[in-house]
Amino acid sequence: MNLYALLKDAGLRYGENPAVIDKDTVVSYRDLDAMVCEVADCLRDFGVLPGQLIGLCFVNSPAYIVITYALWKLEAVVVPIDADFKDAEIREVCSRMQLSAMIHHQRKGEGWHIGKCPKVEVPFYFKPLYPNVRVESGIHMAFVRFTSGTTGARKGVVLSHERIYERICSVNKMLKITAEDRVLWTLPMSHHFVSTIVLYLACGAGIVLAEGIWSRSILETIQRRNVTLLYASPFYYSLLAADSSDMMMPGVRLAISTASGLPAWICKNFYHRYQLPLAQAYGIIEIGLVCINTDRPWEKPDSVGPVLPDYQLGTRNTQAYPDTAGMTCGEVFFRGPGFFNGYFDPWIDEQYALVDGWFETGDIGGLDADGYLYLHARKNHVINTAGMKVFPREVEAELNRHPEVAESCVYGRDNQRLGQIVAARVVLHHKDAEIDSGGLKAFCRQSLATYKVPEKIDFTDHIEKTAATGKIVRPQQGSGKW
Amino acid sequence: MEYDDIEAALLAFLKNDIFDPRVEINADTNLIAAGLDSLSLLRILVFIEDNFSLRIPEVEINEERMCSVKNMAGLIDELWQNT
Repeated sequence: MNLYALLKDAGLRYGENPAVIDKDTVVSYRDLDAMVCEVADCLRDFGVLPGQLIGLCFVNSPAYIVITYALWKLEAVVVPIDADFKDAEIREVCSRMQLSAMIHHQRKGEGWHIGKCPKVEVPFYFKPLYPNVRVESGIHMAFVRFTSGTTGARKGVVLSHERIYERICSVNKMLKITAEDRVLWTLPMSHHFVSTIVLYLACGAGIVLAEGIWSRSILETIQRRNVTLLYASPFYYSLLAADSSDMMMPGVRLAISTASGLPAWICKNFYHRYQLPLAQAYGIIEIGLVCINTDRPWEKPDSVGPVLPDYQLGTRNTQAYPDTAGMTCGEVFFRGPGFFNGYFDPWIDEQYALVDGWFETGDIGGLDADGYLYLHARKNHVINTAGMKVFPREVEAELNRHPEVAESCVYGRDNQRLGQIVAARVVLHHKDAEIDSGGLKAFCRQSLATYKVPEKIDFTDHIEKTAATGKIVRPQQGSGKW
Repeated sequence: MEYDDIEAALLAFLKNDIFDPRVEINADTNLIAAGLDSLSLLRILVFIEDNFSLRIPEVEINEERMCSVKNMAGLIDELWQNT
């Protein structure tokens, strides 16, 4: 199967239904399919071939969706690239993944072909990079999410068309998305697409792109576009919960919080304001959306819910962790359909990436008597700042490139608003070096996406390391929830 | 800290840490029109908490109070006067 076929089928079944709404532009399913076909023809003319990896660096827009499906129609593989990435980060993705080409939302100049997304009249820019490279993995690849990091980190989560289809079928047993639904979209498409947008479009639902970030404009969009489902990060819900108008959300049947842990006070305030429960969901790119607390969010606001029917959940190594809130805690594992096919670079097939068929999440959590999962901490050191994942070693490598820096230690520091912020401890070669935290941040900003640049930099005399292996001991602060 | 200092500190943070150097902003610039997104707004809130020892209540995080550096500085100044 090909995921484009789902969209084509939706185009036939739901023709004039709105597929994507962006401000005053309404793209119907029929239009969307026509746009995909036209852009696919354009990309084929540019030289896109089946099996090629194509980087897509684009902002949220109907064009993002059109280009993604056009690449799938051509049997090419989409590699989403964060629109905030700096040149050095983009170069790393391109060279490590040997991308055949890159599509960018604003890059132009020598070597870049210009295409245009019809109807919305949005230009896109295409540049061939390694056109002769094709992936011959034996897997019908649709998508590779490049996960940043430095030496030793696994890069690239591989998902086939079939696996993505399996995961959306599983998650829809809970969400029950239909052609009657309108979903308010607030998250970056480069980070959230395959378990969400693909599902909505397969079901004939309308995707409404959020206008602005303030509660009033969000509420106006919800009312004007008859939104039935919200899918947003905790921050949006915190602003909506504090809205002082009398605007309500009469048509919303489900509000889902995702991307980072949902503080109980937001859940409570949101319910009081709108009389609408806020369901916390738990998803990971490797395995999809596996838990949603749709049934008892009010009673258990700290829980990400029970595991979805198609999945199994287990906790392991419980003797290593103390009981928390009366629950036996351990490392959280999942098993089920639609899991990733493996890691791209270095290639690790799923049978080696999984432990006896189970995926190790890296989260520490426990189950209550009703089978609801509570996440308490992370086993690894990935920093989650407002839902954006940051790998400490990547930031350390950048800090350590500065000529005045001897070594550094990057870690997540708890923060009420962001979940965690990126923090760093830095040792300088010379104590009287003329560099301060502002200068180091400016240095990092040249090469790192803004959200990876440390918010806090403390200077110190030494970095603590383990005696046996000399590995950096990173300060552990609270949850750092997924 | 005086109002002018607050405004200057906010403007410097936005210019250095939030916006692309090619984006020209001043105290009156509409930040959403200039490209402010939710993650950037969160980072501004954390900056305010760290540098002005002030937590902006959620009810004040709206377009009217935070659409420009001038409005943000006014909000911080007002919250300070009331504490």
